[in-house]
Amino acid sequence: MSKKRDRLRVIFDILDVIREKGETIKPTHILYKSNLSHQMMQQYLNELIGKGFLIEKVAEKGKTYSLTEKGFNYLKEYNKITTFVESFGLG
Amino acid sequence: MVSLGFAPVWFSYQSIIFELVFAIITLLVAFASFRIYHLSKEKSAAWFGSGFLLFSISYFIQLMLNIGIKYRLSENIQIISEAREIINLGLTALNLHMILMITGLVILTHINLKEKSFRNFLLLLAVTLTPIYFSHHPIFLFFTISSILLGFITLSYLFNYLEKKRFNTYLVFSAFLLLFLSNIHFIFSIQNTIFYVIAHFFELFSYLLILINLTMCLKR
Repeated sequence: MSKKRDRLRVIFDILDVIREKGETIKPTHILYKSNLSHQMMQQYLNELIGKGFLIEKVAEKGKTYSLTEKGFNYLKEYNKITTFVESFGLG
Repeated sequence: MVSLGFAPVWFSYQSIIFELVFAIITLLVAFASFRIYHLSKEKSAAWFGSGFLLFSISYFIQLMLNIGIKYRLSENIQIISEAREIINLGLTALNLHMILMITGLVILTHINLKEKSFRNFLLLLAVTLTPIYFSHHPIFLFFTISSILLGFITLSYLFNYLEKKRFNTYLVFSAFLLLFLSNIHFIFSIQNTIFYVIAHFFELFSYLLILINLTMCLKR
């Protein structure tokens, strides 16, 4: 697999964990399920917030994350995205 | 990727149909790329879409020009100034066509180089466009430079196929190989117009393969 495919897959996995967990999820759950280092996970989370796929909420007990409509769309169209990116060498 | 000039007279109507097909397919690829960008926010998809949008605009300009010239030449032009006007219009469209095509190809090259720097993109664009502008044989140089760029892009897609070994990657590699061969034939069309016709068929098959791949991607 290419690096890009891996990256797109990691994004899918993070978003999928949040979807499975319901509305909100703590970073420790994401860290456990996504199998990333803490630093890498934080980079991905910042990227996904920047792209508008996630919303970060800061509460007394700590940070939680939830999916936006764009995040749900990414999960729904993941196969189209990866096939297109892979075939046209956009990695 | 180039269709202006060196066309046999008997092929002029057919070439207009070919160009319409190329313009539509490249526009579809551009829209699909922008849709993928909208879904994934992958910048490379936006770049790719921009490249194909430039190809499409280029084909539409060429199409309008050819229809216009065909229409004006069917009238009996006897005034020299009118004939000169048509020639000037043709030269302007030719220059625009070359700029758009080269820019589109440079964008695809930039993507395949896995480059992120916009400055490097501008440098590559300047290095490719400047010699064409100052050359005494701009069309020949345009064909040559676009062949080099297409050769590089084709090689990148070959490596992409060898790495992933999927049918989609094979389709895209084959499509760009045909585009490369088409461009080589356009170079020879300067000496013999039959190569212009052959090049168009290569180009048509190439875009059909790209369309098949696009359909397969979007069906998933």
